[in-house]
Amino acid sequence: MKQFLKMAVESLLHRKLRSWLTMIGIFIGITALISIVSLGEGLEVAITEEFSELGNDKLWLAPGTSAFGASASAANLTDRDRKVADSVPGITETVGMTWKNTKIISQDEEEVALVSGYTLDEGANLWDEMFGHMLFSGRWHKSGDTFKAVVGYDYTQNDGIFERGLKLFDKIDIDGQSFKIIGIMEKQGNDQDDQSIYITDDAYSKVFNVRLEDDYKYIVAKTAAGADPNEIAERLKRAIRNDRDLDEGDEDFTIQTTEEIMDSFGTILQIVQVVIAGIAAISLLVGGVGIMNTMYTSVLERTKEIGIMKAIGAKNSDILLLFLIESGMLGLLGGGIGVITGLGVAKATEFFGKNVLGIELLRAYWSWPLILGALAFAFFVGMISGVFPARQASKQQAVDSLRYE
Amino acid sequence: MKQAIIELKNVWKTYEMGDVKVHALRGINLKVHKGEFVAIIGPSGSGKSTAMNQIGCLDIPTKGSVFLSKKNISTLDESDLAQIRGKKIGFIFQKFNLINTLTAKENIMLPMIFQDVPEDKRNKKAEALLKLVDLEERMDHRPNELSGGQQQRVAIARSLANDPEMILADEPTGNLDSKTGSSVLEFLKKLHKEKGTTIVMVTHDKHVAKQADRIETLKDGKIVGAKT
Ligand SMILES: Nc1ncnc2c1ncn2[C@@H]1O[C@H](COP(=O)(O)OP(=O)(O)OP(=O)(O)O)[C@@H](O)[C@H]1O
Ligand SMILES: [Mg+2]
Repeated sequence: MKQFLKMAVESLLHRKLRSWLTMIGIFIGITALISIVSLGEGLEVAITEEFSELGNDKLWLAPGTSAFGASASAANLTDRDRKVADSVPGITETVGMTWKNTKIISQDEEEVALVSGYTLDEGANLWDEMFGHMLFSGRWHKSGDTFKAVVGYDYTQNDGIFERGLKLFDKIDIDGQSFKIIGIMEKQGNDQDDQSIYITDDAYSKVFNVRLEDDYKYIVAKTAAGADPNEIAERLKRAIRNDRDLDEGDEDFTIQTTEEIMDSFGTILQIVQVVIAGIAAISLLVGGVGIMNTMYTSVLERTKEIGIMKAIGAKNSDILLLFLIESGMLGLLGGGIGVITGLGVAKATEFFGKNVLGIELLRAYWSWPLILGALAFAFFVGMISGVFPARQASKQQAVDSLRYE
Repeated sequence: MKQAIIELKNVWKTYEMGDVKVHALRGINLKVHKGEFVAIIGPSGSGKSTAMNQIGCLDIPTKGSVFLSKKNISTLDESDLAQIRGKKIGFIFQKFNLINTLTAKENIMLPMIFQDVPEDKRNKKAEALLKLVDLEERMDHRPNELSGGQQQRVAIARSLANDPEMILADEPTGNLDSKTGSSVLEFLKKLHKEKGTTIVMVTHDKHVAKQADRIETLKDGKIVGAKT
């Protein structure tokens, strides 16, 4: 057996170029498979982490029928809705927020930034609960803190957003109004968070001359400990529907639990995964057919060799095994290279995501079961592809094969 | 009475090529005894190789029977035949028939692999055989790095790997120049004399044949004469 392995390897090395070419299909298939599984798993882990930090007990109320990107016709989410939410039994606290891109200036440098405003109520700590631990230094707002801002991590970096990074208590000009920086966020790993600026509803209304409480992009509601968020979500839905006099099914707002948001990410991910798995399957199939073709050629070319081996005592089963191992090795080698490049692609995507796109959600994940599974699968594809050629080889008559030139 | 290693009894081999029947062997009777050196001669197409295939259990007769150590092999299946060949018969071919992807040593070990000989024993035996054919220095060379004579010596070593009861050589010198050919022949003779190896050899060359204990002449698939 060990000897057969060696012989298979030697035979493959003898036909290097063809072996390489044959492996391409398997190689591409396994590369696709490994990279997508690696990134998929990594993304799932990252998303789960991200959202579990926000807490599973939160409800996310947004205008429009899709949580991401409100439709134009949707009614605004206002303070009235927030009051309805507050009155729903099982909801202990709410916070409303919105955001806007605007001009900011620091020391004559002008930039455009995403400025978020959130409702700051006396004694409220929902915001703090969700984002308190994300502070790198300083603090979040407390009541009376009107023109104060908490900024994302990127603002503190020299040659980041500004040539000179900002420090705690520095001043920054937002849409013509000067703000004092009282808090700095930890690095979150994505541009959106790391380049955000947070101010209070008060300040937001004054600076932008709008009433924040007339147009929330989100209202986050915290559900009571021990309550089922899904149940409370239904209650909240009913309450707002009644308040707006809407029939069931006509909702122009969306409520999602943290889990549902996670799931919707998961669904997008799954679709992408299915598509790439399809590509992987096709190339593995093509790879398998390629191996079969190569093995048929190889069997034909080695007719004489098969005859010799039979003459010197090889049983049919020996020949069968020899060719099966060889085709399995083709699969395995293709798979091995595929695993390496697959992990490479995943790592490169992670690197690209982190350093170019500023997305830390893309992480290459790997585990031995994943790698060994992929290798075993590649070997298996190779073996299966070799079954018919190997059978043909083993069935050859020794005398006829020996006469073959 | 001497012990017969192989016995062909009224062996016929017929090839059907469409409507035409080619009778390659027409009722051959032949006995090879232990320790004998038999040469088979005859014109081209007379059925020498076909007869060798029967003697070597590479093929079964269309009619008649073949006995190897008194055992009728005409009824055995392919894998059993392979086992018997591997254990009891060593082949030497005109075109050497080494496996090109394997080194000299690996080629010699191959018959032992098919007989499940353990690795250390395989190694030892292969090295001893390489020494016997005077090719120790070449053991890691592949066939295409060896001369014809060297390749044939590797083939001889391979044929001896499982200590066979009989060596079959189909024109072993046919692809060699006369000098290399006669050295290979000398080697076979030495094997026969010193170790008592049974040898059956096909040849075109009457001078070569004269080295044997006995000459069988084939013509049109029949044995037309034996000379001792
Ligand atoms: N597999 C086969 N199919 C058809 N005919 C065959 C086959 N093998 C041998 N023959 C025929 O049988 C006859 C004997 O062939 P064989 O090879 O035994 O001759 P030979 O004596 O070895 O000749 P040479 O000296 O040229 O090697 C020839 O007519 C040959 O064409
Ligand atoms: Mg011949």
